[in-house]
Amino acid sequence: MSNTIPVTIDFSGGAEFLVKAKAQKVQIPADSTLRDVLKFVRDNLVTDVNRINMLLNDDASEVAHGVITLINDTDTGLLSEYDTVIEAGDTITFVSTLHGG
Amino acid sequence: MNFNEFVTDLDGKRCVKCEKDAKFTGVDPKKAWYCQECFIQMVRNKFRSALSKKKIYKDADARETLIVFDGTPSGAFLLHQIDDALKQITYKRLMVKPTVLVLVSVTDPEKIQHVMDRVQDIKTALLENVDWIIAHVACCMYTEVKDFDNTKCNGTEKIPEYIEMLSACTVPTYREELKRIMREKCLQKISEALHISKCMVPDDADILGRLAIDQLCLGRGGSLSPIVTVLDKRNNFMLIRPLCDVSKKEVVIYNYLCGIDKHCIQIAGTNSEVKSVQSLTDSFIRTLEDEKFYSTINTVLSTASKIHNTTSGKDGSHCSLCFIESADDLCATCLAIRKTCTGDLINRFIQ
Repeated sequence: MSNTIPVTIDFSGGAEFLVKAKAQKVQIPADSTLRDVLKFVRDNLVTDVNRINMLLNDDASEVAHGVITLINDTDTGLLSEYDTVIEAGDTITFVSTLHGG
Repeated sequence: MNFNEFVTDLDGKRCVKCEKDAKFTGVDPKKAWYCQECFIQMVRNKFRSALSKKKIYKDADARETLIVFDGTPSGAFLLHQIDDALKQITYKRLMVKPTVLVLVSVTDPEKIQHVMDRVQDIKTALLENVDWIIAHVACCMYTEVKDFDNTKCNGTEKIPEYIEMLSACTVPTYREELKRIMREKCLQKISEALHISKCMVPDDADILGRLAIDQLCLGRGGSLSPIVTVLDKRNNFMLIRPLCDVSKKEVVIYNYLCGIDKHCIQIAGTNSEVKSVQSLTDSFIRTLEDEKFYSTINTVLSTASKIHNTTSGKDGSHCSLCFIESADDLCATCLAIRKTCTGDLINRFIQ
């Protein structure tokens, strides 16, 4: 049995300028929660480390203020927030309200 | 999990408008939940009702309107709403004759060129058949009414003067306030030059809520209503803020769902922040929202909309810089701003 699952991580609203690509298909450990995904993003996807605070907080335990997270186009505020368990095939979207310009 | 078979862990939460599973919330996640279709409709309705409640377009002769696009998500949202409203063939068609004004605030020539290149792309997707004018916020420095060229970024020759005037203001709080006032002066000047009296700006609830608190701190509490509500009438000029009830969160989710987030203009900048009343207000609101007081902005705006000045400026006199009602040529805040400015560039705005 594989111990990783395929998911898509999507960035929008300006968050895409902080990472490698707007949408990325990646493998993450099975039974990961949204909080684990944040750490995965910090360690593997963020390219603009100088502005990482526009996406994640200092220890990547939460998103930065003004960043909205969706799982399969559903606001995680309606799910179990950071404790939501990610399943194979899920799409996790980070939408930023912080405009750079 | 398959997208189409996605079962939400919502404790039975259903859309408040229909019976579908809820997917999005309004500003306060504890108050209302919507399915995707109803969420889009709810945001669109907020925009349309802000305009219809004030009957802004009841006069058939004055439908020409400047639509300000500043590259922000709220700017893209406003363009999309106007584009969408003009395409309606039913009674819902918005009776407006738009001219898009791209308001540029970056001062670096390379960044200005980037903005102009992006505008060419955006024009092909939204409001292609209307006039587009690109102008720098430094147009506020023109002393005479000027003709605007729609093939270039107007006002760039005034950037050095504009920078000099802002730099001459030594207090960061007043400098930020002067920037805001100059943006309005710029819109008013362009509006006069183009003979278009109405100007629609993409100021959303988050911006206006913060502005309301800033203005309280700056001593303009008595004149809050025209500064943060839908309509701000000034002699022959009218500022319209149709996004005053729409939060940034609602704007970006709407943009994401409707595929218009690609019409924003992103410019890489630094995170440097100077301490000012405005930055402290922002930090204060963020802290409250992090502590789950989501309705702060709504409460502030709702209260601010009821505050009108009953004493000063009853004879119709206004501050010549910020245009709030004032018995004197300058309101107390603008007087303080002028005192902190070295040089005399600011005096050209004072009668």
